[in-house]
Amino acid sequence: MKVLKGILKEEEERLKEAVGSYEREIAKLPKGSVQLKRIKERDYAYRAYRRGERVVYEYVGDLKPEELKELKKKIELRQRYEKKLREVRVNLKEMKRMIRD
Amino acid sequence: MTKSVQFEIIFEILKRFQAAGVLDKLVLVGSWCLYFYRYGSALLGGLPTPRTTDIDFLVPRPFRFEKVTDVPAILEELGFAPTFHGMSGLAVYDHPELRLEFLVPEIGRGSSEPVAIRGLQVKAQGIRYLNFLSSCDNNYIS
Repeated sequence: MKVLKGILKEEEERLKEAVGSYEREIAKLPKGSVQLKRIKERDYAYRAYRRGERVVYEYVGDLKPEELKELKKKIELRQRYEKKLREVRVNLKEMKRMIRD
Repeated sequence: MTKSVQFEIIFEILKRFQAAGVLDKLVLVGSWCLYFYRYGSALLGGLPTPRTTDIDFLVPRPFRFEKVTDVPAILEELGFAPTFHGMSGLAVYDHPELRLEFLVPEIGRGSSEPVAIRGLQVKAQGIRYLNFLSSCDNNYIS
């Protein structure tokens, strides 16, 4: 039983580290989504994100297609990491419950 | 955490490494080996196949990479986040279900610093005597 508890504790520590890693990586990445608005035959890119109750549309400047692609990629990565962070938190909660029981 | 989820992730990692042309430069070591020996019918009988959440890839020396592969980017796509240990740049890659790590055989005097593998764009931890595993060819196994 002691060995099993040790393994569970180790996994708990790993998950705690993973929470920190996801949070750190998420903080480096832009949030929201990219939206294109067509004004007079030209596309203008905006980053839409929530600030409290409001949705903010931030003009991202005159980006080249590859820069826009890069921005979208970073936003997608942030969303992927946010999903994984939620999963890690669920696993961590379960692990804590298993150690306690 | 469920085993089937872990398997799916590991198969996906292997497939991506294969597609990137790096899988044949790596050796899967640790508890996950037993699963793959059984999967490939190399291990028969009633032996248990316990696995941990750690999946370790050994990178045999000398490194022979014809091209540079951005392995962290591959892992990023699969949702792995780097967990850095200290200031040395050594990173393991965490996922809700798994932790992936790269290892190299430690040679000479050894070092407390991790070993940079340019061909994979990762830093690996040096561990003494791992060369026994990487220098062992198929004749020894069969």
